[in-house]
Amino acid sequence: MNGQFAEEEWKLLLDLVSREFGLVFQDSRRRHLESRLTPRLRVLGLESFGAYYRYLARHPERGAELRELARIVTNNETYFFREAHHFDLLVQHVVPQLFVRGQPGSLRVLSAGCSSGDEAYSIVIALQGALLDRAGLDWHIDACDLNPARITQAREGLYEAGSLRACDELGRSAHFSAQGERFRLRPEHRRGTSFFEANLAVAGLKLPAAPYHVIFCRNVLIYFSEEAFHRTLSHFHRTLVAGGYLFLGHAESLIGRRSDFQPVRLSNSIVYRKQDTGA
Amino acid sequence: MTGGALSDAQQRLATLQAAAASAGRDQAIVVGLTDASPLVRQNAIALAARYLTPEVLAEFLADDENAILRNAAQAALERQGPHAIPHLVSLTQGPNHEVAFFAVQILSTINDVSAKQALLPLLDHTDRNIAQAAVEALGHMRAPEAVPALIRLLVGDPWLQFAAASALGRIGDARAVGPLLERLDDELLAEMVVEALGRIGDAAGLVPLLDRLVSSDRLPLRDQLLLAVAAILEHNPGLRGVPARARLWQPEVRVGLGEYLGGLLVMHDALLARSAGVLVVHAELWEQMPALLARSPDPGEEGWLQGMLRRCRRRARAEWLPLLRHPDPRVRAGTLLHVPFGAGAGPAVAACLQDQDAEVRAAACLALGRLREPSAAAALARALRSGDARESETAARALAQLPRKSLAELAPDLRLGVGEEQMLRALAVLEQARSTMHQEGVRALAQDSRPALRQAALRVLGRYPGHAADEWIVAGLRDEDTAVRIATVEILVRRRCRKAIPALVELLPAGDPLRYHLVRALGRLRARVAASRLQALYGEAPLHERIEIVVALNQMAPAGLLAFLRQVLDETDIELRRVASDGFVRAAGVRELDAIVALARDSDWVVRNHAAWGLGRLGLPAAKPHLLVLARDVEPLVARTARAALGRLVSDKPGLDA
Repeated sequence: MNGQFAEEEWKLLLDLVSREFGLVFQDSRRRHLESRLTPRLRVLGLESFGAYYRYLARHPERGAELRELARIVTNNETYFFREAHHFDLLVQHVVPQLFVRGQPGSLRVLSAGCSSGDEAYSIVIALQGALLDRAGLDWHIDACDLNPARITQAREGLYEAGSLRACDELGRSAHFSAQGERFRLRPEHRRGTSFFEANLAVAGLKLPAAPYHVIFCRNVLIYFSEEAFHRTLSHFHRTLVAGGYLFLGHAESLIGRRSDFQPVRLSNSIVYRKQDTGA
Repeated sequence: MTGGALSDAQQRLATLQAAAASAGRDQAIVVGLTDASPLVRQNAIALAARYLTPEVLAEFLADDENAILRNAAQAALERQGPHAIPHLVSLTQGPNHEVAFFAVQILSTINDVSAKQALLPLLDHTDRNIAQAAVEALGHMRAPEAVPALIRLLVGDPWLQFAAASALGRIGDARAVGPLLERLDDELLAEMVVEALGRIGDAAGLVPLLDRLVSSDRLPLRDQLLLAVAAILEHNPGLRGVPARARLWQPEVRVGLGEYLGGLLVMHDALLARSAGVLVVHAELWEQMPALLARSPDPGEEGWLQGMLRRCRRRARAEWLPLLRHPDPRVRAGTLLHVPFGAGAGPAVAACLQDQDAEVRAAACLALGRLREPSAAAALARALRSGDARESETAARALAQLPRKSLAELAPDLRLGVGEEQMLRALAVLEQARSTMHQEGVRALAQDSRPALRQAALRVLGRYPGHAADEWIVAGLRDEDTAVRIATVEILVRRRCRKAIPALVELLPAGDPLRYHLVRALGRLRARVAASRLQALYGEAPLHERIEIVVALNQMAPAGLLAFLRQVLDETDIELRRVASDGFVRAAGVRELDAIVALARDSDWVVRNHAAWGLGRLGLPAAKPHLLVLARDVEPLVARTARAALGRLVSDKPGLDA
C-alpha cells in the first residue's frame, strides 16, 4: 500500500492510535507526527508508514512498539503549578468540605495523564504549604500516564528549568535543589505519591487507590476521541467517591456533554462534582 | 446529554447500525439524524449519504422547524457528492429561495467542476442571499469563468461587493488586479481588497500597496497591507527588490517603516514577522537585519530565510562581518546559518568555531560545510571528535560537504585503538559523503568484533558506487549478529543489489527475525525468481510474515498472482485481506470486473477503497454505477477515492447522468 494509498495508510495509523490510546490527531498535526514517527521506521528497518502500520497491527513484537508509539504521541509538555488556582481550590475549598480540620483523614487523589509528575508533586507541595499534614490529614496520590518515559522521569523527580516556569525564585529554592542546569525535587515533596503506567482509554482499567476523593485530569481529554472521552469520564465517575471532585483544564468542559458530573463554581473557576445518577 | 446516559447512546448507535441491514433502514436513519448524541448523528449522516436519495434528503432542507434535521441533511448531501449534484442544481432554480440557498452552499462544498456552469447565472439572482452564496461558491471553486461577472459586482450591489472581492482573491486571476486597486479607497472594502490582491500575488499590485503601507497608520489595515505586499514579493521571485518608484525609498518614510517592521520581528505572530522579514530584505532596511537573523532558530524559518537572503546576496556579502560580531549569539548564529558568504569568508567563519556559545559553534560548522572550505577540515575534525552532540553532528554534516580529499583528516579516527564512539562518528561522515576514502580501514571495521562498528562500516560500503562493494556487503548476511544481518538486508535493497537475490532466497528457511526482513527485501527488489519460494512458505509462516509475503508478491507481480490472491481474500484475518485486495486491484484486468465489484461491497472500508481505485484504473463505463455507490460510502476516504475514479472514466461528467 503506497503511492495513491498514502491517505489510507495515514488513516489506518490514526485509527490505530485512536483505538489503542483514545487519542485523536487532526490533519494539521500530520507533518509533526510523521516527523516524529520517521525515526521509528529507520530503527525497525521499515520503508513506509503502511509497513509500520502492519507491524503495529500484527507483528509479534507489536507490544513493545505500541509502547514506543505511546511515548511519541503523548509527549505533552507540562509544568509545576500550571493553572495554579486549582491547587488553591483543592486546599481552600475541596479538602475542608471532605475532611474536618484537626481530625485524622486520608485524602485519595488521582492525577490522570500525569506526564512527568509536575501536577502530582504540585498537589503535595500545595497540601504541605497549607500545613494540612500537621492538621491530621494524610494523603495518597496515584499518578498515571500512558508514556513510560514520562513515568520514569516522574519517579526520578529531575526537571528542566522550563518545568519550573510558574515558580518564583523562592519556590524554586524551597522545593528544589539545583543539579547542574536541572532541578531535583526535594524528597519531602514525594510523600504519598505513587506513579504507574496506565492507558486511561481502555475498558476495565484498574486503579490501585480507588475510590478517589479528587481526580485531576487536565489538558488530556482534549486529545481524546469522542468514544474514549466518554469511556474515561464514565470510569472517573465509577472511581470517585460520592460527591468527589473532578478538575479539568481551562479549555475543557463537561457542560452539555455529561449529565453525571455537576459543574460547581468555586471562587472564579468551574470544577465538576460527581452526581449520583443511581446508574 | 450523555454521561449516565452514555450506555443509552451506545445502545441507540448499535440499533442504528443493525437497522442498516434491515427493512426499516430508512426510517431508522431519519430518526438517527436528529439523535441527541453527536456520535449517533454522525453515523446516521454517513448512512443517510449512502442509502437515502437526494430527493428525500432535500425535503429536510425545507424543514425550517427542525434545524438539527436540516443540518444533518445538509451534511449527508455534501457527502453524497456527485450523486447529489443533478438534484441540487434543480433546487437552485426552484421556487423555495431558502432551499436554493442551501443547495448552492452544498454545491460549493462538493466542489465538482460540473456545477460551475449552473452557478454562474445565480450571480444575478434577485435574492441577494442566493447571489452571495453563488459568489462565495464560485470563489471557493476557483472558477476563472466567473471573473468578469465578479468584477462587475465590485461596483454593484454593496451587499455583494465584499463577497466578490474575496472570491476574486481566491480565484487568483490577474484580470482582477486593476478593478480591485480602484476600490482601495473604499474604507469598508479596503481590507478585503488588500487581502484579495495579496492572494492573487500579481506584481502589478505591489507599488500601489507599498505606497499605502508607508502612509497608513490604521493598524489592522497596515498589517493586512504588509501581508499582501509580502505575499506578492514571495510570489514573484524574479523581482530583485522593490521598484525605485515606490515611496518607501524616500528617506522620510524609511525610519517609520523600519520601526514598524522591527516591532513585528520580535512578535510571536509568525506570519506577520515573516512578512516583515520579506520586506526588510527587499527594501534593504539593513538596520533591522539583526532582529530578522535573531528569529532564525524558529522551526521552519531556516530554508525560507536563506532563500530571502540570496535575493540580496551582494549587500549581504558586503555587510556580514559586523553581524558575525554582534553581541547577541542568536544574531551570530543566524548570520552563520543564513548569510550567503562569498569567497574569503572562510577564516572569519572558522574563527566562530571558538565562540563561547554552543549554537554559534554548531552554526559555524554548517557554514563551513556550505563554503566547502578545505582549510577548515582539520578544525571540523576536531569539532567532530570533541564537540558536544550537536556540534559533533553539525561537524559531521559539514565534513561530508567538503571536497573529497579533505576527508584525509579522518585517518586518525579509523586507526586501531581509537575509541568506538570516535570511529562511529568518522564512519558516519564517510557514509554521508558517499566517500570511498580509507577503504582498507572501513573494510577491516566491517569485520571488527564490535557489532555497531561492523554495521556502520557496512553502511559506508553501501554508499560505494558501482558493484565493487557488493560482495563485501553480502558477507554481512552471514554476520553472527542479527541486527547486523538485518541492516545488511536493508543496505542491499537500497543499492537495488539484484546480485544478492540468490543469497537472500537461500536464507529464507531461517526462522529468526531476519526472515521478516528478507521477505520484504525480496518484494522491494521485485525478485520474481523468489515468488514460488514465497508462495510455498506462505502456508507455514506466522501471520505477520504471511502478510508481508502477500505484499512482496504484489510487488513482484508474478504469473498466477491473481489466483493466489483470490485464495488469500477468503482468509479471515482482515490485514491479510487488505493487502490481498490491494494486489488484486492492481493486477486485475477487465475479466476481473465482477470480482472487484464484489470487493466494492466488502464490509471493510480498506477493501472497498481498493475496489474504488481498481474500478477507476480499469476505466470501464460499466464501473460507473458501482463507483457512484462508492462515492456515497460511509467512509469519506472511500468516497473521495471513488470520486477521483469517476473522473477517470470515459464519461467526463460524473453525476449528471446518474
